[in-house]
Amino acid sequence: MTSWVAERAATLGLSSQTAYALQLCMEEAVTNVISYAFDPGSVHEIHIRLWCDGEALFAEISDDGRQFDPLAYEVPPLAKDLDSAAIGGLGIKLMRGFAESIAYQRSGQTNRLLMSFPVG
Amino acid sequence: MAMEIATRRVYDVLVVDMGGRLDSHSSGDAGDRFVDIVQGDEKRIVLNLSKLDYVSSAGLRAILRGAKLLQEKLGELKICNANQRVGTALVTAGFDSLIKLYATEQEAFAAFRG
Repeated sequence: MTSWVAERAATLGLSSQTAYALQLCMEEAVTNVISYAFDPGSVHEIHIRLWCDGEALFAEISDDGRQFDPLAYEVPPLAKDLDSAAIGGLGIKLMRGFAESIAYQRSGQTNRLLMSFPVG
Repeated sequence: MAMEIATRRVYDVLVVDMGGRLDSHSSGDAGDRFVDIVQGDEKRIVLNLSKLDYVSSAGLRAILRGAKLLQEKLGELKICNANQRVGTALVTAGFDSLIKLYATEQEAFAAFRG
């Protein structure tokens, strides 16, 4: 997926900043789906779509796993020191920081996550 | 691009140079290598990220794991030279309140001496 996203980012002429945000959010979103929406060893499909309307870039990730809403995930508060720092929740933090908007929808048996990024 | 990790010594500080992409593909091996390094005899370690092009949460977890292990043996990790995008990822994840971030290697060395 990494090379596919990089190729699409180049084709769409994205700035390096937007390309980075896209790569990062796609990796985090797909990793979350594989980690939380699927049972180990089960076979599923993840579909990813990218499109640009001139003002914004959109990335959609859909899968047939169990319901998983990353927006509902309670992100641990920022730790004040290393001892109390949680190892989890970093991916969601990055997605919320690097995507301009994130929307989640459960339709039937499908999770659909839509992220947008500014272009231009 | 493959992940690259190299070490060098500057007086009493061990500098770890990480380059390439630290993502869900590379962070397993890179994290294990980093843990090996911090579990050695060194207590003052500077992680120089000038050649790191990309980091995701998997990579951040590998760095955090190493920093925690180093602190457990009363050592300290400092990070320097992150590019703008990697730096934004570090700050977004809250690393700036856990690990000292410096613009240059010299500033990181000076902080150990100060």
